[in-house]
Amino acid sequence: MLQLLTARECGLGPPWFLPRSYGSQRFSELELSKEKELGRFHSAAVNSLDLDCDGRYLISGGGDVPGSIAIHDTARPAGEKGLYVCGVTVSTYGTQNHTDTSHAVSVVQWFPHDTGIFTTTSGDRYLKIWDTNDLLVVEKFKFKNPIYTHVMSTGTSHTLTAVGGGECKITLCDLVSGASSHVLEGHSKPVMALAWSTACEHVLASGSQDNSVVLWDIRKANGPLTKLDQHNGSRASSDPSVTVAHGGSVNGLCFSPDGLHLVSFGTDDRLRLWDAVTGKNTLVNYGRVFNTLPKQNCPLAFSPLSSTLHPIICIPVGGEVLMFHLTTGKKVKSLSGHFGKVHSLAVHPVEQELYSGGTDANILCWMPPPPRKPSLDRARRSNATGAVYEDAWSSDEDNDDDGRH
Amino acid sequence: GTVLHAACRPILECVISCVGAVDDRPAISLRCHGRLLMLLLRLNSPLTRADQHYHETGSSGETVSPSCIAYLDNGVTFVGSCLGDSQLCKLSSAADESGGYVEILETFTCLAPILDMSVVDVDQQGRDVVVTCSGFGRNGSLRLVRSGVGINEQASIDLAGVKGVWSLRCGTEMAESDNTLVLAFVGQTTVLSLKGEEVEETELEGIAADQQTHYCSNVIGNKILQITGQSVRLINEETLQLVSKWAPPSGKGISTGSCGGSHVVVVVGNELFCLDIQDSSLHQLSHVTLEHEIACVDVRVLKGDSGTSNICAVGLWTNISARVLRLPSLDILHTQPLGGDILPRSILVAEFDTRTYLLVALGDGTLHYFQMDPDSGALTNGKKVVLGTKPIVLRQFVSGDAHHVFACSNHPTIIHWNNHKLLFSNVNLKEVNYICTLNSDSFRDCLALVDDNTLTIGSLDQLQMLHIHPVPLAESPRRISHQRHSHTFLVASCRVDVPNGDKTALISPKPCASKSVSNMLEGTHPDDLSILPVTTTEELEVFSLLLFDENSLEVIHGYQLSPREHVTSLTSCVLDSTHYYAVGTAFVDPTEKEPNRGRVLLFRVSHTKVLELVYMNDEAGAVYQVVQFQDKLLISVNSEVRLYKWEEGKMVLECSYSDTILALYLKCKGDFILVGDLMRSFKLLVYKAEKSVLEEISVETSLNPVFMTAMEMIDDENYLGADGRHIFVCQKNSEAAVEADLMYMLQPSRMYIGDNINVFRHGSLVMEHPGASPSPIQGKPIIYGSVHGAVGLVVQLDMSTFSVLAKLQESMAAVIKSVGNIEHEVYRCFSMEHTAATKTKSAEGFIDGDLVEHFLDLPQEKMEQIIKGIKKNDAHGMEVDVTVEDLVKLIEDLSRIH
Repeated sequence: MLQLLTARECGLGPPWFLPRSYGSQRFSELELSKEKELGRFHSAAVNSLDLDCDGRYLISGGGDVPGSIAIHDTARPAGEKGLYVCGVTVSTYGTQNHTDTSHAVSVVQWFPHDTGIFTTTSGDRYLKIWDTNDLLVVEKFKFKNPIYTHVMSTGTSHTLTAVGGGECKITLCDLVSGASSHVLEGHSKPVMALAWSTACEHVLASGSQDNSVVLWDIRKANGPLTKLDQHNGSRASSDPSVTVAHGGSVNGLCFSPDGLHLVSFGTDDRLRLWDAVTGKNTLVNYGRVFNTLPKQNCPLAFSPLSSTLHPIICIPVGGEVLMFHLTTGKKVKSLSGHFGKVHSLAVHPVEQELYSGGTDANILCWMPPPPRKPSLDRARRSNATGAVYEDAWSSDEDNDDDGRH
Repeated sequence: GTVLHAACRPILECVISCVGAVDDRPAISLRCHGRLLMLLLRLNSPLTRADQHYHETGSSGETVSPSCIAYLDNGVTFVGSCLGDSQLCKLSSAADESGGYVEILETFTCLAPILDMSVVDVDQQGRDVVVTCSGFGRNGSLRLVRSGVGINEQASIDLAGVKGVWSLRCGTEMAESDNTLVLAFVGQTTVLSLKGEEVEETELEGIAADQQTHYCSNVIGNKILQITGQSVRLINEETLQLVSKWAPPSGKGISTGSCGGSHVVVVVGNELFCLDIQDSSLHQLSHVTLEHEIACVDVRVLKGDSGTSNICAVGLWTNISARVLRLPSLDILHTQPLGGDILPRSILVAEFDTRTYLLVALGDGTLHYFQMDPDSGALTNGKKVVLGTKPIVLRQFVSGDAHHVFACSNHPTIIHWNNHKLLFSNVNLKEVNYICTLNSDSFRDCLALVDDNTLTIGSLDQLQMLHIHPVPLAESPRRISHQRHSHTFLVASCRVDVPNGDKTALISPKPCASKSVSNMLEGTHPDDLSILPVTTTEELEVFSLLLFDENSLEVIHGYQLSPREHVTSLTSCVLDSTHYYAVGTAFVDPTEKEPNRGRVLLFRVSHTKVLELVYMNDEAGAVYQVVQFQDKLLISVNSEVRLYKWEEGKMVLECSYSDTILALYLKCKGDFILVGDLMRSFKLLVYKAEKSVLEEISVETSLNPVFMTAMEMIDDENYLGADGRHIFVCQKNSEAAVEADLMYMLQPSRMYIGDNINVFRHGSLVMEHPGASPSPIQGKPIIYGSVHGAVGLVVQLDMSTFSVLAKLQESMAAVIKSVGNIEHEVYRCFSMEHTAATKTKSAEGFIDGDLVEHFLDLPQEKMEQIIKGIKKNDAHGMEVDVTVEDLVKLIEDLSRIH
């Protein structure tokens, strides 16, 4: 740390080096937060979590019947003094006067630019657009088949929401006009995962039960941009119709915050890292990662841009959240704390904070450990025994640091 | 197009820091460890190899780690550095006498990086000097930054009561340069002759020694003109014989006079005579009687002193006015009332570049200046500036090719022309009564200055607003602190010892400051501390404390810290009415993530100016900050803030606070403590003496994460911070409606500055002039120093000035096009670069001084166009339109504070 501070003072190396390397280090140290505890609201699995663009309000969608949605204020503790229980703004799905509310919420998402709107999809086969202040549905889109996932575009030039479900196609719903503007056809089986590119707002990635991952440009009407090939074209079966990204259904997709990489997760228990620009498989080996949510969309989460010196990808596997080093494929840490399967993840856009929701109906907050209070006794003890802190991260940093001069 | 596959051959064991191509020949120059190498690539040979290399042995002013190399032409290369001065070098293919291949043509001063600075008023003149810790590695130095112009004294003579001084060329040898000084005393005149560096009193036959001289100079026709209280005398330069003499017909005494070209103007009471110098005689050309007594006179001297002058200006008693008269007829061209009741003491028609100005100095230190039309004598654009508090004498002098004006008073000032405007630079002298230019054989381009007791001969530093004096250390200075009581600076500096060739010992590179201290003390480890042993195979950073004399800036004493002990903070403090330097250190073990041992060392400076280690206190981490808090010592150790009492010569822990990530910065005011966190911006603590606790009363959360780099308390409720790219002000929220909001700070102001600020200090580089018009500046300005070597100034403006300037800034931004046409608003906005969606907030609450000062450079029409719609409140609280004059005056006043 002292070396990093000195380098910053002297102007050696780029100015973002200290924030990003420190952020990366902190993200890799995530543990169950001792100070932040979210109130238990849902009575069944927490199926979906999302943090707003400022990272303050966490929205959660529960698998209760009838479905429930909660908004948590994660910045300021509410409740009794000294107790770090985050405030909960309650909105019960059931209070809405709809005939078909007896379904669990499957995905809930904030409007990417503010907290005025959020969207939900649930077992009732509706995509619903909500006004946060009134807690009323302002728009809804009906689908014939079950909906697996929906994602809102983070871009500013359009407000399309992509919806993937049992219809083997992707429907783009326009929030402005209230109509579905187009349909992207190309998959032969239901679409289970969708992700908008973080670099180019017209690019959408989709993963389907037909084992393929397809990149689309929504301005291009006549077909997909490319289909990702796990073998990079080296296998003889060069027939494009059977090009697949995984050996099983693809139910998790996520672009890195810088938009350079795409991660896909399939029921073949493999995690693949793709170059988002060329569409090539980078062949990083993450080992076997059990896909414990094969029948639904599996949420993936990247460490925020503030921690990208060593980007980390987080995946819910069983009751744990596994963290992998993106570029080396090494497992960094596994976060265990849930009593059931983990169903949902949300990463703070700036800070090193991770939220996870599970079938045990809990939402857990994972934060870096608070700084140790310096103690002379401990310092003496550790020195006397010659103990050296084992920390792969700090030595990584040192190497990077040296390489830079 | 062609790809070269070059075979690698190790050049030298070094790190290449920078590469640049050399014109179109296939060669590149490399820079490693301060050496410049040139590789010539042979395209026809299969292996490309280092064919030739130049390297430098004469390492004078060599940069350690250049940031760029740009080959210009003819072997001339620019080596730019972010860690010291940049250089323009000439590479040659043959070694010079000293064996070097590189000749340094020019050095460009750069303060980067400023790691710390101390703002002190060393000579106690009300003007602060900034001493910065600048540079890195062997380019490390202390830099003295002061505003104004320095005089390098070359000789001085004790002479009391000198009223005026003039330089002359005279004698038979017809010297090309001045060889005589004429000094005026009350009722008499003394002549000094300069022979080499010898100065001796002589008598010149033609010069009247028993009368007071009002004017004396060489004039056309190889003559010397002397105007005394009784007569005007024309003297032959060679023979020194009196040639001609003129006395006022009324027999009254001459009060003053001036000469330009062949015209001599003489003042006798309220009469003005114009004389003409012809071959060897003086003729009276004209005569006029004005209604009031004449106080001062000046004749316009044409450039190249060839033609005759055609204009003279006088200042009058009683009705306090300036007049411009035509020569030789003495017709009045223009009358300019000056207002007030202080009489003009000195008047000067000065030419700067292409413009002619009339300067009138009053007896109270005020200067009026007007633009003058050289033909009609009409005066326009009158302005007023306060230069001092005593009468001013204006003297014109030539430095280089340019004419400047020296305003002699108790705050001597040089008025010069730069970038189409008049600039006023302070001269770093206490008082000057009179000056003249002196260009003798041994005193080239000098000035002779007289004050009440001495005659000083000195040369002028470069005319620039800021003046930088380097004190090279050849190692990296890190922290500095000043102690007025002992008149010393303490500097913590760091040198890197490298293994020698066979890795058997560590050697210090070059003669550096810490190696030149003869009686260096050496520190040792605490006994129970086992850190990595020092090996002879790795580089080792060695920290030392160097004690400097505050005036000479010479190292008097030093203390070398134990190996692997880094100095992290330094301050001067008073504990129990004894002055100490408190030093915070950290033991650095490269295998550790965070230092877990450190120390606080207390040093006293003895009467013999020697550092004495008085006390040591072990801490369980790096002591990032040590400051005096009331009569106690406040330190931050990693994430903890600890307050120590000083009792019976011991540091006793009183209380602590530990809810931070890393408490890097601390500032105190009264009972308040502001903590600057590594990534959580500000926390405000208050010390409750009765309970003896530190309590958190306010935090800043809206900005997080903010990686703070520096901070300062503006006042009790406003805190200035910097995060590497922006500066911002946070405010304690003392008026929140909801009680819960009281804890959270507001953030009223922010701006992008694009530089990493390392240090803020309260201080001001310029003197405040008593009696100047009410200043729009509130509080003491804050000076900052940045990684890129910038020294900047942040001042608080009053609300009315701010609102006027904010509107001006807005309309200026629309008119002034920046480099690359980047919109000002976009450039200055606050952007959170580390966030996923690059969020921005517009800049608020700050005025961009650089932009606003551009207003002065605009043509009049444009100024008028810009200020349309800008209102201000007048004295009665009414909204009125601002005028161009108001704004120009305001901005000129503001531009004078830096």
